[in-house]
Amino acid sequence: MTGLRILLARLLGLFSGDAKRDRELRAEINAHIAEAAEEFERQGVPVDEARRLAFAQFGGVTQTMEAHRDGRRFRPFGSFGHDLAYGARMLVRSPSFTLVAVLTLSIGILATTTTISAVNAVLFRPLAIEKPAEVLQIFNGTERGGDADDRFAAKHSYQAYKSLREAKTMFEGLLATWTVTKPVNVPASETSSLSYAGRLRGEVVSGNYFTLLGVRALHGRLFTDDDDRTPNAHPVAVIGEAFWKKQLAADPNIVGRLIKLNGNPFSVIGIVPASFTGTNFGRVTAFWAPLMMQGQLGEHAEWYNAGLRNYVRFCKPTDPNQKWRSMTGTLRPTKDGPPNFEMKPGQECGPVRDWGSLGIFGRIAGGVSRTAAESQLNAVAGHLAQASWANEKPRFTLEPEVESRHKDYSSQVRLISLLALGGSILVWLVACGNVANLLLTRASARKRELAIRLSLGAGRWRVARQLLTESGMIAFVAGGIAIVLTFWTSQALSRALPLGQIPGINLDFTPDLRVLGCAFGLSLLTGLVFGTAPAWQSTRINLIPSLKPGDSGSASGARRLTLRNALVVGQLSLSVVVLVGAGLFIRSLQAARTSLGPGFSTERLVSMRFDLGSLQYAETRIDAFYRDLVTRARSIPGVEGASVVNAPTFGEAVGNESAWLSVEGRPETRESRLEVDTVIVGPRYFRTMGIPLAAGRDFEDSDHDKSGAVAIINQAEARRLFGDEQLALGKRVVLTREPGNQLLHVVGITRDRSDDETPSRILTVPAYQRGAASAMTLVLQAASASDVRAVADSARTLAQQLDPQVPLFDVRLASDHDDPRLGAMRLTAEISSALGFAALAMAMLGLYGVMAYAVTLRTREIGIRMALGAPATDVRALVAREGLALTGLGLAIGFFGAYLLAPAIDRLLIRMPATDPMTFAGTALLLTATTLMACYLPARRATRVNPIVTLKCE
Amino acid sequence: MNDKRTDVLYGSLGLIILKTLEALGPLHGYRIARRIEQISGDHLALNQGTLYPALLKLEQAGWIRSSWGESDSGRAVKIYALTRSGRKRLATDEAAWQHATGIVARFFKIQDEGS
Repeated sequence: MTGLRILLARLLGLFSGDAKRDRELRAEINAHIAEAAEEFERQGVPVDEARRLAFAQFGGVTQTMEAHRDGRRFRPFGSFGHDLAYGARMLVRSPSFTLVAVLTLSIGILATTTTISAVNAVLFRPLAIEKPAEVLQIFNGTERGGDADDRFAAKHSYQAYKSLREAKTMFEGLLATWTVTKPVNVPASETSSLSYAGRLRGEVVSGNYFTLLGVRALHGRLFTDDDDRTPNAHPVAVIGEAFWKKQLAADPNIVGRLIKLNGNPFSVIGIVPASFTGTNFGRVTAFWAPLMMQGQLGEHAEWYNAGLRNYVRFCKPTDPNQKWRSMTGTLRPTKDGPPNFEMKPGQECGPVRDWGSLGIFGRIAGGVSRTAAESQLNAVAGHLAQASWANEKPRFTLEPEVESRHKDYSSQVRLISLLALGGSILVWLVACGNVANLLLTRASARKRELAIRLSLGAGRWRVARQLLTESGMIAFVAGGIAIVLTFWTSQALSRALPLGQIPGINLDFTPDLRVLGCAFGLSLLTGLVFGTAPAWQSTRINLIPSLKPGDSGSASGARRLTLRNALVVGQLSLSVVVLVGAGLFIRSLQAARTSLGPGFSTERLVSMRFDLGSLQYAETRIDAFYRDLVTRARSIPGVEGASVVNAPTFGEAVGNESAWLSVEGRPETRESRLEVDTVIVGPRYFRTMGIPLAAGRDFEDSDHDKSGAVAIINQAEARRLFGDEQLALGKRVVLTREPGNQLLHVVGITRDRSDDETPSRILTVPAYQRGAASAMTLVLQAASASDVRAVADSARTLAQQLDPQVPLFDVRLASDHDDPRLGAMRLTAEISSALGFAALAMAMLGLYGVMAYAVTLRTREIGIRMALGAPATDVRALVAREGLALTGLGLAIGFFGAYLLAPAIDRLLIRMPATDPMTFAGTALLLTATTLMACYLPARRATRVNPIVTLKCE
Repeated sequence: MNDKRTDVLYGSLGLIILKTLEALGPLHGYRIARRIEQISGDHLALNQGTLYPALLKLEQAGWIRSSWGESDSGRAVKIYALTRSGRKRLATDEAAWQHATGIVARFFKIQDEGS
């Protein structure tokens, strides 16, 4: 109560005139002195003496006034405000020091905050839904299966979803979503002439999806339960804002417009705002359709038939080196109940589990714990097992999306994130070390000032606090600059990421409150980290010599040098760690370029994908389309060659058709029935792609359905069939597949991919004989790299002319074809080398500072040496030796650190051991060279020491 | 300095001022200082200046109030007077003080008996 009144009075004191109160107090004090003097006079003391006595009795007038003033004012932080003001004055007085310190630190902080904002966006930021922590995804896990199990745990059958939704659970609601990538056609309408055909990602969702997630429409309306009641009866769709703006030119009459999803008509009823991109983190959903329409989007036509069951089981492979194999399928019930699962002899399979294509998310009410909801869900699970044929009770686990992201994401992403974070923290530490060194230099310059303050009675803690306040101010200014710049650098980084180039992937790196909090904490920590050493040293100043003019403080100087040397060695070893990391990634990138390279040059390559699957064309029409496409594409100006292939990744087989090859006339055994991957290509495919054949010839226009059936196999399959790949050429092989066997003439042998330890066996057949697949990729080789864009545009126009209905998507030019792993490698290499060089530059700056200081301290010694006749080279060697000693120590510690970190990095390296001697040697060389550079100026200055001058100073 | 003189016990100066004002009625700063010196028999080492921040604090707390008046010799001085809440405060503080010193005194007594 009383404290409050005093506070109030002091707050009011802020507004009343200070000068007036001072005048009043002065008058009061004067009266006091006069009264006292008068009393002394009355006792017979002479006037002057009386006055002196009165003053003595009063004590310090100034101190009283000061104390009074302090009592009047509101001072929330005591002397802190004073420290701040003084610190600011000191910093402004030496602008170059302040500038260098602030810049160095902001670079260090910026490196960290930028990485943090990326890591935050990738690993921690929840989906843009209402109360994301309440929304949990349901997983059905078992102890079996390992890797294979994880992929299936999140996918449930419609029947499972239905019974879960009907069961009594603690969820406010359960939603189901099936992620699809389907052909999307938007025909021109009366209001818009713009049309679109392509393939896009969509979600087929239960009617409660948007209400449960708390997502509201940008235009029109989103689904309700009424849009999802009867199978096949709700041809409505909503589309994403990004799709609407980018592909449909933000058509204002979009609501009510007809679009075709997977070839079936849907009417657009609303638009989802771009902030919500669906339940698949980082991937943009373009459209949403009701779950009841899944038959129109590619699901089994009778999906709602309760008797149909999707199942999955995991079987142990016969080859112990291979992973568990998952077997999936759909079963129809028989009268006798669940069917027997046939097992191949010698195969060991786990139980049959319910499985489907639906992800299930639920929102738990505010007070309900995850464990409570989980155990209750498992309590109803027994009932579910009975209802389905699964002969194993499901074991449900619940996870918020953010958590499953950590598991779901390839551990590579997480590892890269952590490494980048670690690297940037090292850079930040080096920056702190640098500024600490700067401050130490400054502290020795300020030694006399500090000594005066100490000798006038300032407490050592008080002085240390003043210095810490100054470091804190530098850190906060630097942190502020870094935070502002982070908004820009995080955007730049998100653009540089290879993820950003893949269509349909979207990650927003904009810093949020979490990132800003981290940045603020980091700045605070920065101030403490680099400010502690100088503050600590300032409390150990030896007063007497420091006050003497011209003192170089040699004894304490030596100790200070030790501290500074330790700092520099620390900086050097940290940068060695970052540099070794960068070196390893660069070397690994080089190795990967050759091993991960597609085996052909991509710089003049153009490709685009087509999918006629949704158009219900006859096979002959599909064949005719691709035949026309290839023939006419060859005559596009600037095109050297054109062909088609059914595998979008060139050479990796698609489709799950069961087929195997055997040598004509050789009896088959069970062991010889090894499935082969089939690739269908157009004529001159290998020539168009520039893929060299190991032997034989490419397919030609003359390999058509009237000519003899031909095939090209790869070296691995040739070796398996004939023992030696040289023997395979010209032989005939039997292809066993539905509908019947076929005799093929082997005309060519392709090379195995070099990076596979057990290369897959590949059969390539001509599209004009086998018939084209409905989805094919057109590949074009442009005459020159500058033509690729024009070629792509002409090919797109050509396809539109041939058939405007055909969905065309995924147009890729030149380097878009590179393995995405290469992109990740390149990014890691780029980030780590940027960090490495930043660290190196700062460490060298630190080394330079220390060497320069050491030369100053040893001026006298060097002078004596030179007076005694030491040649300049000796003096230079003296300085260089000292620098190299520090670097050597830094290298040793850094190498040890890098060696400890090797296991973590090893997993990210391709064809490169983390202890690659070349990298370590290169780092040592680089560091030695830069050390000599950093020592050059101080060494030169050492040789310019004038012996006479230095000795006179003595 | 006289060895017998001791510093004002921490926190007790405010109490001493309040008690002085209660005993003698409204006074100006110099009179308060003199009175404290007289009562303590010059045993208190009081810089008279330290009185003024203490007076300020008491006034901010609302226990005394001040107004400009005249001293006996006709000088313009600030005269401090006890307020009602100051009187109340003095009563409780005095009781607490007696209580506390009483307890401490008892300890010294025990020691005396023991020796």
